[in-house]
Amino acid sequence: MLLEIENLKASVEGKEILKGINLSIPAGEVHAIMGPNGSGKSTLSSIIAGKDGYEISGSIRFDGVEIMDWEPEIRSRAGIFLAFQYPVELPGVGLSSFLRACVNESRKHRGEPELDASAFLALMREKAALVELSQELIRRPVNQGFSGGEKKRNEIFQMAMLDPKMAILDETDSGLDIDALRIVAEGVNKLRHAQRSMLVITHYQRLLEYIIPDRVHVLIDGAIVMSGDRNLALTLEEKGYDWIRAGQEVSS
Amino acid sequence: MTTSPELMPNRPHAVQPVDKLRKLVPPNFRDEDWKYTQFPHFQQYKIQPPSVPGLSKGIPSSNLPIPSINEAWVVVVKNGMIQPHLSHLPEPSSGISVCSLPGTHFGPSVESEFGRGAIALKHGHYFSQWALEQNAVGVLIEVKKNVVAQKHLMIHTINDIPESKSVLPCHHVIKLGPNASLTFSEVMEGIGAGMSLSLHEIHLGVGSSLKHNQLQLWGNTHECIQQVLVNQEKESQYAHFAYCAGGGKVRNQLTVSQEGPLAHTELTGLVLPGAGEHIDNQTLMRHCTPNCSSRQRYRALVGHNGTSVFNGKVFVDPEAQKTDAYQHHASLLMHESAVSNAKPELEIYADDVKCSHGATTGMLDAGEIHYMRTRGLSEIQARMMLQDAFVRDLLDSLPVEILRSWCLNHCVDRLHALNQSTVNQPNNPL
Ligand SMILES: Nc1ncnc2c1ncn2[C@@H]1O[C@H](COP(=O)(O)OP(=O)(O)OP(=O)(O)O)[C@@H](O)[C@H]1O
Ligand SMILES: [Mg+2]
Repeated sequence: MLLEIENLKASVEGKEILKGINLSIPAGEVHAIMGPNGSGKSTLSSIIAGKDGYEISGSIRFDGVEIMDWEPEIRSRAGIFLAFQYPVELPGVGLSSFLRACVNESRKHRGEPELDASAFLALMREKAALVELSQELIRRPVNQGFSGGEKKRNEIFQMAMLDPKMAILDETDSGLDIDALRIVAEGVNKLRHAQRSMLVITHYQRLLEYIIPDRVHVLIDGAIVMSGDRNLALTLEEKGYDWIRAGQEVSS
Repeated sequence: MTTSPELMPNRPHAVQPVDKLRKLVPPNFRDEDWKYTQFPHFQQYKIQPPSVPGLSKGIPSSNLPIPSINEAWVVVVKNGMIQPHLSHLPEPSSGISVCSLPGTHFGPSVESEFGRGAIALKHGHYFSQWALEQNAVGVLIEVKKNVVAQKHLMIHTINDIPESKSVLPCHHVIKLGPNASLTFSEVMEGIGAGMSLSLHEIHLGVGSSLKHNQLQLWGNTHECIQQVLVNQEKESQYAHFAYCAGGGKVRNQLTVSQEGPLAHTELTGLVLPGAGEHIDNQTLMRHCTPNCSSRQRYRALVGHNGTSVFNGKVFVDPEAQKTDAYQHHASLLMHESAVSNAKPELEIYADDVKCSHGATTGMLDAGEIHYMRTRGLSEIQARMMLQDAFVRDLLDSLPVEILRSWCLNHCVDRLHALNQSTVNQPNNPL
């Protein structure tokens, strides 16, 4: 198991947002999470990436190691990547110098030598081509003045640069136009391999036609209430979430 | 006030503006413009005599951005006096003259406009008038009509004023003839706990252009009061860059009057007060004629217990139609104890103008730091990178490469030190 989450609970100021999540993702698999607005999807992904400000209990193991006490940068260097639902603008911080520092921190963590300027440039070109990110955007400060779609594309570009073992994509599809969705999804597919797992959060079945998931989980009100194969996404698209909620009431 | 008359050079042309001075009293806290920065004991200060030329042995600090003599004319001014044996002055053929003020070149043209501190009087600055009354020494720079300076002119100011409550008054005059052009930089060192008090009077003739850079490298107990007064004639350009890297208590006043159409002014300042330091920048941009423009950009990065003050005035006279004036101030506080007081003041009496201003103050954004950490940077790396971006953007507009790269390095060192002293404080954000 690459990622194992056990009975994860999280609350903010007494309000319980995650109510005992259990989720296991084997290496190489792509899992999708779908769920209504406010059900806790972004909270779950933020907590996996190490955001503080929550009261948390339970366990998150990565590659067999408990990571609950790890700082976000250590999780990142160890190979966890979160593509933000709302990527943050970094005023004045150039994208390429930012990424160079990030990539070199990860390499140091893995005991690899730092990339020199020309090797880094070559890597950037290669990965930018993957999501068709223009050179003009690379020269700009991180996300500053980027359109919504450009920011999402930039998140996948950064993921490609950092080469994580576990990538969490929080609504990467929202805000992308039809062509951009295809380009970004194809980029993500090229990054799929047997050692890399992904957790894809989305509201729309459409993304999952490009990025075909091994498992689909439904998160409602802070708990995973149903899991299935890719067909579950089709059912949700057709029927919404009410039938699941109704089923829960019947069974409880 | 005590002074040593035998050390004061004779200055025949300086007629003392005594009448006006009598009316002025030292500013105090009731004075809105001096609310945050006061010098309550100024009247008890002793006068630091100027250095005698030739006695100064050498330049103490070698790690400063002093260009080679191939690239620049470098004039060393120790305690108000030019040190010719340490200086490389412009050749007479260059069309540029640099001499002591008062000195033999103190010609009638200067006398008529500046000799009586005419501009200073108009603006009623107590300390400048006081300096004039003391026959303050300094430097006179003249660039002749149509002369485009072939080299950069630098003044390396060394004010060695060891005792607190002692003051060195200086008066500098810079005059560009019509269509003249000059890049003029000042590297200003202030050693000791005394005060450097200076008045710069700058006159820019029709179509002339002055790039004026000041690196204020005052020691952390040094005091400074500076007033820079600029008169711009038609179609002239003035760009002022201030790098204020410290000082116990610093008060800079920069007043620019655009007195002819199509003049343009750029005022840029980067302020880095560290622990216990206090740096106050006041600008007054006066648009008096139509079709002029100005652009002010100031940034302050304030360490724990540091204080930055900024007051930016823009006055647009009724005649000054089509004025385009911009002002922005941003401060970044590195600790809860850091203080920034920034106030824009716009008085616009013309109706067809474009004037905009903005000010931001705050600490680094926790969301930005978190985002950077999720990409593998440590908290301190993330902070440094955001702070670096904050200053770098401004430093890019410093037009002299040797100064720009020196300031960048200096900034990075300062940032390390400021972060370090911030980390060592209680309630540090790390
Ligand atoms: N810091 C916080 N303080 C208070 N409430 C919070 C905080 N963070 C999240 N919440 C609440 O927790 C719930 C889950 O939020 P979350 O962002 O995880 O939802 P989501 O499933 O990602 O929704 P969406 O589909 O709209 O992106 C919401 O009701 C939200 O208001
Ligand atoms: Mg969300």
